[in-house]
Amino acid sequence: MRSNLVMLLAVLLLTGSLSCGLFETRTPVAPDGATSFDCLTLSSPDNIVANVLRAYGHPDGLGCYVSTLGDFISTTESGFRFHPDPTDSAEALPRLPYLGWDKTIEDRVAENIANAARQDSFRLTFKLPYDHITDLPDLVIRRYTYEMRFNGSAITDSLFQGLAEISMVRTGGEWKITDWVDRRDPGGTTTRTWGYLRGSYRVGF
Amino acid sequence: MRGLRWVAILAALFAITFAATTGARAQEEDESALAIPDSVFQLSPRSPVSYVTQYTQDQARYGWTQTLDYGRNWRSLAIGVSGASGTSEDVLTYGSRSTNGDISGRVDWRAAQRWIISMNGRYSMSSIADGFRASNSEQRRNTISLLTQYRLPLYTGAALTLSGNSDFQRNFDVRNGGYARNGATGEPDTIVAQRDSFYTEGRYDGYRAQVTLPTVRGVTFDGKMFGSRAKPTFTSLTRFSNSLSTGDSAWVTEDPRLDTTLPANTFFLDGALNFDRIRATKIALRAKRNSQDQPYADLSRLVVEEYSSTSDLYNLSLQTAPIPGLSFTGAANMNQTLREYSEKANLNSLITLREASTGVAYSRPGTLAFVNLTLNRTRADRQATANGLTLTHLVTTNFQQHVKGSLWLVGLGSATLNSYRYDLTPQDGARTISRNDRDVVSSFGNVGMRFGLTPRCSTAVGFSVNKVHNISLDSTSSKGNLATTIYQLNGALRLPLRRNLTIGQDYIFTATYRFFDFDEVKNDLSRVFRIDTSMADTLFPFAWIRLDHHFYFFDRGDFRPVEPGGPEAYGVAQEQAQQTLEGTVGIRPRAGVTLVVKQSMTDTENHDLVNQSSQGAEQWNLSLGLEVNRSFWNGAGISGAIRREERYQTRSQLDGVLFKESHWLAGVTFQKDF
Repeated sequence: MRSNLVMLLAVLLLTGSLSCGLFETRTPVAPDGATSFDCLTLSSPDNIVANVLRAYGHPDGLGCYVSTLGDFISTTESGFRFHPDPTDSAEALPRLPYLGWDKTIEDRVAENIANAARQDSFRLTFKLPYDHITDLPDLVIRRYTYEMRFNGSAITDSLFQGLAEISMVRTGGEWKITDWVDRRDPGGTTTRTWGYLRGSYRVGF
Repeated sequence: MRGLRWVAILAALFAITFAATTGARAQEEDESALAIPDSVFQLSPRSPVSYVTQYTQDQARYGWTQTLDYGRNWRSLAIGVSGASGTSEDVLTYGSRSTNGDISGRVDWRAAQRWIISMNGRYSMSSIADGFRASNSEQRRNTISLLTQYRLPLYTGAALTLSGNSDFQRNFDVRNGGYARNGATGEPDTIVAQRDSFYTEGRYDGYRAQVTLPTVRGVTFDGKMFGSRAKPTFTSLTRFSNSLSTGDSAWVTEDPRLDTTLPANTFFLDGALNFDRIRATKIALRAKRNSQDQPYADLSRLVVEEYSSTSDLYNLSLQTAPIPGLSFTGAANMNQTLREYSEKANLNSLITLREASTGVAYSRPGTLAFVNLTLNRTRADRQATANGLTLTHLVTTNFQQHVKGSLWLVGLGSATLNSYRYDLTPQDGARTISRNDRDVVSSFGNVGMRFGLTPRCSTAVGFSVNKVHNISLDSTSSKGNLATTIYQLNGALRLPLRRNLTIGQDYIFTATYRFFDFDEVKNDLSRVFRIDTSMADTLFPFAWIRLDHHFYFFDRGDFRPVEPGGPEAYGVAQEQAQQTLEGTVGIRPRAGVTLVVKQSMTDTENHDLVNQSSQGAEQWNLSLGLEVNRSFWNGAGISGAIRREERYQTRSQLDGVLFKESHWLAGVTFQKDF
């Protein structure tokens, strides 16, 4: 009797939440014919980096970019973490814009940047060759020198430079980004980094 | 006497209510910072001096930290002194170098049974030099705090605690930087060095009241109030130095001092009402407000930023267990936070969150199950961008069922919808919904089974499905709409052949389907099959050996109809096979000391079936390590590991470059109690 009651309540809660349209999405408008980037399968670190380059800062690439980030919910065991340059973090005090930067935060910030970049020119480049930090069958860490030109609505800076130390882990079948360490570039011409840009677009959450 | 106690209770409640209704300022700091617990005056058998030092290094950074603590406790007096320092620097000379130090001391004196006087001081500094090295920033924080606290027992179980404090703070922030300035020819001919500094001084007066009432007829009340007031003065100074191409250099410009005095008020109020008079039922109501006016020195803009925030939280929760093993929960939350900046207006926001959740759980020997449903509605206003509504719906479930003997059935599932609905802006033109609107729906389900074949041999099987669908609503971005479905089947086997010999195998098969809503030609499928095998044997009490083999196979290709309207077909375009063989030997020459040698070889083969080409690579890894975990005399101990890792390729057709790399990894901690 007790088990039946529990089952009834659980089934009612589940079916109620699933059948009341709580998880129904809205109907999108068909595209206007514009071409989109190619979102590569997450089968190698090279594909991950290529997806970041192609998708970041583009509204239609948002789903592709966030799919490269490790998530506790998925089969990937390690979730995404962003680590800013310590100087960027110190100069933001007493604000703590980089606190608890996980995939949820990165998703929202990437969305804000992509939407802000919609009406402005946006260009992201990684210089080659990159530095090998670690190269194991299931773990790859690379350091890229990046440059980004962007004129957003929340900040007036247009050039961002730095070093992106990206850790990629393979669990199951896919590679995912688990850690992203941002550093200022000693060879750059500006101290404005990708981390500074990210921190400027974390507003309200 | 009894009447006086009730007057005190009513006065405290009135003060809390008055503060809430007059909209007094609150703060987001730890509201319990001023409370001195009675445990401070508990005699400890021995209060040693404790010293800990730690060194870590990896491929990119190294760090060194030290801490030293001393503390004594008597019945009426407690003292404590501590110091800490840390250094961190990039090994490859990239990025930053940071150092920090902190010295603090504290004296707590129980002047009377219920009266405590406390004094503490803290001096801290931190310095960060970024990758340019020419640019660095430094912070110093000096604080001396005086506090008095009085605890008034009202009647059995009820108490009122009052305290007040004054903090004398002096902060110093300085940043040095340099940049090149172009001359008339357009080429840099001047190097400008700039030194910006802020000096902040102020006295922060704080007060605190806390009242706790005992449970009366199932009702318990706990209330806290905390606040501080100050008017710190900010003094800024900027100096420039122009180093001309001729070599001349001098401090040529100096800004006049700028004194700014601004209020810095904080206030915190928290009240909780708990009701548990109904059998097996708990109801809690909580209201909380905190706000602050916090001016601070912004060195990047050389201005005093006036930051203010106000946050209100209301929470109602219910938990009931009508019959043993069965419980229901429900909660409703409302939270509103307003953040405003005088200079960085782009960071302003007003966030209003409303959330309701409910759940049912069942637990008894052999069975465990729960279902939770959460509905969240968050609205963002007053932001420079991205104002609007976010809806989040989440349902999670989990169950474990003991079937028979050693057979268990386990499962979990979740479904999430995040719907981002932004306000229309002028850039949206004639649209009826924002061009940035999007929905993300995801679901995850997993069922598994654990089974003990024999008392020593066990197996586990699991199957999971993970779906994520990203949907942009507007036509300008909907072409990238992507639905990803991942099916995964995994199994594990643990087989102890002998007492010292164990074999384990893990199998994973994954299939990932990607469907583009409006770009079907890009639909594809990728599959992965991997087997991980390990064998561990303890040869002797002082040695062990472990062999691992990893097999990984991957293929991918288009997954779309060969002809319009027909069924999808899988056309394999790429294959990759990878095998890794790894051997590890560990030797323990004496207790707490282990030598570990590990070598592995990885062979990778790529096949491009479209262009009929193949590539391969072979990589060797060697690792030599020493692990120590030993205790020495009188509480001293050391633990850590140091490892030398080398990697090199003997064959590479992937990019034609033979990769070679080696580095040290280290992490050592030494601890000593005196």
